Amino acid sequence: MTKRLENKVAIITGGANGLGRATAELFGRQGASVVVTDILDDLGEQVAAAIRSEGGSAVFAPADVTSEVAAKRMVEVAVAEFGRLDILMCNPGIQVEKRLPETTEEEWDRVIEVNLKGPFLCSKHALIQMQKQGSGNIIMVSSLSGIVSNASQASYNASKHGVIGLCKCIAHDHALEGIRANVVCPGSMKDTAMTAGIPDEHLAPYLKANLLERWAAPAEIANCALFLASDESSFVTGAVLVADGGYTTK
Amino acid sequence: MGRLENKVAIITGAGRGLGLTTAALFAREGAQVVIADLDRDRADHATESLAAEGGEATAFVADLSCPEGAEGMAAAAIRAYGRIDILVNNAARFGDGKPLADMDPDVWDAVMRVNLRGPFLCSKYVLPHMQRQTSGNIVCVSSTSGVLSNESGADYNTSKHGLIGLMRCIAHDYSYDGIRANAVAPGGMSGTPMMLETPEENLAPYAAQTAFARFARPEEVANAILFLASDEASYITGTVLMVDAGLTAFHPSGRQLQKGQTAFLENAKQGGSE
Repeated sequence: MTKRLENKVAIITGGANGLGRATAELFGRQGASVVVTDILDDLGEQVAAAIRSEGGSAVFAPADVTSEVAAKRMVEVAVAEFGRLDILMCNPGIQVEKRLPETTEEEWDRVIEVNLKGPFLCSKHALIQMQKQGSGNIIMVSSLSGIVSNASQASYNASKHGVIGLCKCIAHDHALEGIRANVVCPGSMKDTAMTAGIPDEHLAPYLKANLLERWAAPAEIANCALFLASDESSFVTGAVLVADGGYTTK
Repeated sequence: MGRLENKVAIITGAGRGLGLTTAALFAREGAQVVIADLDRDRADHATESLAAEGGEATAFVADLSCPEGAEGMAAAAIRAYGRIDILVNNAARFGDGKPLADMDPDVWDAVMRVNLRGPFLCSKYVLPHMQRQTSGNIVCVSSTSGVLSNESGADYNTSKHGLIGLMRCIAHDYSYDGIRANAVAPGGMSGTPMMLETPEENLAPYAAQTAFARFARPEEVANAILFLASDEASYITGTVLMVDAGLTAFHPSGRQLQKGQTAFLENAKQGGSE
């Protein structure tokens, strides 16, 4: 069977665990050369090694996405190792489980920095490379919190709404340069870094409210990223792919 | 292994256009396909073309906007292949492109019949089989006109908005039965019969407004239907997947700027090659 990302080079930020890891491994199996980036060196190295052990091609590049130097460097690594950059997936996110009066300025800034400034910086430097190539593909991970409100997460919600705006503007500005940009909005995934700190009683309503009444598996959301990353979605840009088990439908 | 191996798919309006492109793609991905169409020649020709590529397909000919036709379609799929995993509600038509005050009520009814009553009936008669299987997947082909307005086509626009409502309610009511329902919303497609029947001057503005300044190829829309129909989309239900090159994502004034930008880049390209 033909691999769906043959000859493509992809950067997956936050690729050390959770959705990032599932996506990096899937992209690797589908023939992409993968640059795994994360602040977690050991886990990130393990993901790259796992892709290589399956016969894929991957390197780990440590990177804090909130640093412009690091964002520029990850693109340089992709070009140095694999010659180009076809796909950037902006994946890392953090959340603070607090209502607004209890949220500190530092907490707000940190959420916006990781969730919104990170995608800005990584996209900026990816775009500079993609413009040179006349092709490229950016995928951002928003959330159902990018579409509807959620309880006690105003900073997170604002950042995830913002990601959608950022992505649409990239899609608009760079379409004629052969660059696509799309968002995937996953429902909650259990046992990922994102949901790790949240008490079960806060998570339970999310489970009840989606039509499938179960959590998403990271592999299910990685499949959405694969569709958007592949040439199969060549007419899809500026789109928001909602993969939430029907949470925002009913 | 194909992405729809061991799946049985019914595609309405599969005798030509997007339906035929989707049917051929599904067959290549391993599905057994029921080509449902109003026209005998079209359905037979489509079935033969899939078979010639090594695909497995059966033709079913009926008016799917009446209960006998839709029920017969589900029965034919069961008779041929024993189950129904996927229904693609694709068959559709335009009205005659008039503003509302000039709209012929008979044309309105005809559009609603094909675009809304057909998908209702096809889903109605397919769902009990999917319930028995405790699995199934319905993909409705809506449109950018299912999300935003379009000029002089309230009949078509209303039907495509309605189709999204129908799809969401199916997703809601049948999630416990292991059934997913989603929609794709394409903009115009190049070369399909529906488009060829529409005057060029009515279509040109839409192509210019997409980010790529062109219409979609049917294959590009079929790929999105395949994604939603496959198990890869297992966490997606009740969703509208836009396949519109940003037509509905961008600020309308921005789209106009984009048009200017297109012209600008074209000019620059020509200047550069001299």
